[in-house]
Amino acid sequence: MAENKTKDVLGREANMAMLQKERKANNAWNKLKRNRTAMIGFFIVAFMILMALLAPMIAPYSPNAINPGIPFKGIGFAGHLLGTDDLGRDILSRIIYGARVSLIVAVGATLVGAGIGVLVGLLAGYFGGWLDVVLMRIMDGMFSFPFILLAMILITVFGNGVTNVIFAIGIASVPGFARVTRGQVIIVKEEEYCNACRVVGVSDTRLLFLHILPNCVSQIIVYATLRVASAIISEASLSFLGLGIALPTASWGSILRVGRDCLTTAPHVAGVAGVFILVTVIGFNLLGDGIRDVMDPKMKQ
Amino acid sequence: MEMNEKDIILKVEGLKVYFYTASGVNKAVDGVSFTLKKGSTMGIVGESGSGKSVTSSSVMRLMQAKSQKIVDGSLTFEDMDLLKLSQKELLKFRGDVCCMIFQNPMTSLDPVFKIGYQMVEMIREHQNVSKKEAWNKAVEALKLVGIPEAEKRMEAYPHELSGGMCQRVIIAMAVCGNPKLIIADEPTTALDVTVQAQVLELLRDLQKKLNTAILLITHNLGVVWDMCDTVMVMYAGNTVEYADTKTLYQEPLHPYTWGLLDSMPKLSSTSKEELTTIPGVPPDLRLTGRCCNFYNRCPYVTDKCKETVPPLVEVTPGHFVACHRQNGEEHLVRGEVNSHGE
Amino acid sequence: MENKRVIMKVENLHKDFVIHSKKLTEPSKLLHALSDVSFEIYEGETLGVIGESGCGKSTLGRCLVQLHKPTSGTILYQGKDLWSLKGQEQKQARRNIQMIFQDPYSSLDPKKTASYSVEEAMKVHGIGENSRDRHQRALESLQEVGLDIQHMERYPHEFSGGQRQRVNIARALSISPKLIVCDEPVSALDVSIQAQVINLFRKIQQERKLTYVFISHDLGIVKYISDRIVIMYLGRIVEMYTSHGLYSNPLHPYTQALLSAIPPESPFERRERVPLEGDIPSPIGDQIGCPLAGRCPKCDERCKKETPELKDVGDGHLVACFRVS
Repeated sequence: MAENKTKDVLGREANMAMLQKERKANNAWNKLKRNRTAMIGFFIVAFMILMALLAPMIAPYSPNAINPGIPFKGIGFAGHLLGTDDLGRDILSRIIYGARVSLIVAVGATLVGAGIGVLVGLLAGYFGGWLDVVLMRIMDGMFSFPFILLAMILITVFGNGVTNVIFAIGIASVPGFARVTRGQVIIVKEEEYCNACRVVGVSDTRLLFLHILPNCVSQIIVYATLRVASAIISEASLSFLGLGIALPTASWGSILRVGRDCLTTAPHVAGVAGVFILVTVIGFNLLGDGIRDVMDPKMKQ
Repeated sequence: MEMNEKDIILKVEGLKVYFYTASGVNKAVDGVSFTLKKGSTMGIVGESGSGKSVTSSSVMRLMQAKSQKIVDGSLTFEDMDLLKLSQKELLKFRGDVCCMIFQNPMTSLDPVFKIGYQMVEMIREHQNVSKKEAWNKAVEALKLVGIPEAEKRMEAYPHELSGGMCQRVIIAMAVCGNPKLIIADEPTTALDVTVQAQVLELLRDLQKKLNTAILLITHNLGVVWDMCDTVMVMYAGNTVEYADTKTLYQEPLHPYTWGLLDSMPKLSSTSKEELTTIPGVPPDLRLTGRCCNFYNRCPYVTDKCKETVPPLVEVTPGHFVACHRQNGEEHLVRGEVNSHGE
Repeated sequence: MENKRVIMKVENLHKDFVIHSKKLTEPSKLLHALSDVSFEIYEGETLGVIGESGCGKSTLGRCLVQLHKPTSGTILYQGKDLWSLKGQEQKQARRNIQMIFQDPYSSLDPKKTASYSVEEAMKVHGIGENSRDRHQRALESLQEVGLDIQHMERYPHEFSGGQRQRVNIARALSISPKLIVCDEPVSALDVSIQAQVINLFRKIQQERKLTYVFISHDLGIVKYISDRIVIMYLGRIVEMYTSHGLYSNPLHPYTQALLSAIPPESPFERRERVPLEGDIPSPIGDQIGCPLAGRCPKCDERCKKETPELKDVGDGHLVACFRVS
């Protein structure tokens, strides 16, 4: 087999090399990199998360440090890049620490919603029949209930505080996850490989959790990413109304609350918080769309 | 078997169509050449990955993806250079002079519009006629393709028709404008055997009546024997053999053609021997293009096959082969693996 | 065939699907996928099932592997009614009757490697002592079908069509079944690959003494691989005979039409086409008379009113036609 002078271009090694190359080029990260808007979203989200994580190191002041001598100072005031609020607290520091709270609430709520909603969707979609009808009618009920009202009831009963806000927003996200999951399960369970598994003798439980669920996960992840964005807005709305994160804790929503009262005299307070919310929500949305494109198997070439 | 220049309706030379992907250049069509005579039927035979579908849709300059580009070669229709047509001229060319029939009849028709609406719309797109005239032409076309109760069918939706009926409707749409060339990409693969026979018979009749040239893409050699005057065999993006049908059946030259002909179980045989197969699988099109693409499955392979691309050579008048060992200097005997090579 | 033990017997199988009408006022209709289907399968043979769309061959295959529950009739495996089995016997029957599907791509979980799919089948049936043992056996299964160690950790989209079908076959073989229903197993593959996979089917049948039910619309392949053939039309069996006998002497008008519609084997052959008027009628709603009535060149008044039964016209050649005595 001493044929090393003529290269085996179509042989086994060449095919293995091509397989490696294809795997690398088409792995999730590289696919995402090719999508410019998704990368913009990715960097926005990464920036916000980093900011939240490194808060103690990068915030110039403590977020609750009151300085009554310099209230409502505008943007660019000496030592306070984004100005101060009604109690002279540095807005930049409050925004940085606020990112922590807002992101933790948003992600936490999404996880709560997904945890319950996906399970409901799996059972309803797979078993169908009366279980499906009962579960989905409950979901419809939750959907039609106005979110703010639902949150108000939960907060009134259980009180303010980060955990309660997470649960309030999380519960409100359950029906959405249930619906998305159920829709996917209904499609996936008719796929031929589910039939093949049944013929082999795979049990319902194994089929549902080891085969159907992993094939629904990509859609769920996309939905979850978009849900984080709307959870940020939900938290902001609740805190704005006084139902969410209570002052003096800094969250983007509670900063908005302060800003509401001084909208005409010191618009930068609400403005800055609003801009950060806007940019982060856009970031998550772009990232979510990008993930959807990456996960869609039809978009291969 | 010389081809008179005036008889040729389509001439393709050295066509190369590549797809630029993240993992490499997919050379779907890498040097395809053939000529099609007016009023005749040519078959393009190949398996998946051979490039036959890309070749045929490239004639109409239909691109399936942004990453697809015609990289080289010439496409000449009568005297027109198809690659130089403007968008406007191209739109007129498609549908008017040259029509295409696709594999899946159910998805080729718009499901939300009635058949009649789609046909009238198509006719008025290409011919300057009133709605009523277009309607009458459509009914005539439906009758021509043998659809019973043609007027009633104009009011039907595509999902109300069977696969065979849908394909007839599509053929009716294709022949409305009296095209000079019909490209049929596996038109009967999705249909049942009896329906397939009907549709092929229809195409044959129409060709006789309208003197249209047909480019028929298929993987089924039986359809080629039935319908085609000439045939081109494709493998991994190349033309490997091109001849008229009877010659290809009686005196095929390329080892791939031999393998293909041998691996089909014949109804007339009673032998229960193992089927002859071509060992291995077609190559990855991102790796091809540097030598003969069949070398790793060919029982007659030599070193030269692994080094240079075999050119398409006219071995006898009208019979072209792309094989280093069959291009005139040498001659292989079917079934005998010479000790000439390694 | 000396050893004529019956491994599976189908008796008067009916399968209907309910089609819910879109309008509230209309009642739902029944789609008769299978009507009064009865036949036997002998151990070690290959029974071919041929038919066109809507004939019910796929539904029949799925009934045999219990993916569909029959509306009426019985399927006996080794003498026992499949649907009455419980517990260990049911599991054993499941293991013994396997299926290879038509589309090699969609019959594999796209998120699982080849070795996972094969190992899972073994795990479900308690084959192999631990996961290392199963991994080794999975490799042996894959090697038996012509794949090798480098294919173990590949995902379905990284295989070619023929290779995917081999993975499906390896999965079925890993649990050592006795009967495999093959539903158009090579239709989605290229011609030159079809021959490879067909050879593989024959090889493992001889080595493992398997019984096949081979469903296809490709008459050439079915004739080659089958011992006996069943021709189906609109949910019924219209003819059944040995594969050689059927091709040399088709008696039912549908069989004759089918054989005449096959494209020729050479450019010099010109076949006489036996015409069948019109299209395949709808299986929805009441089915009166012979399923071929209205299309058949030999149709008469009796054919339109009564449904012919399968009758033995000699030497085990069964035909359901009034015009054939």
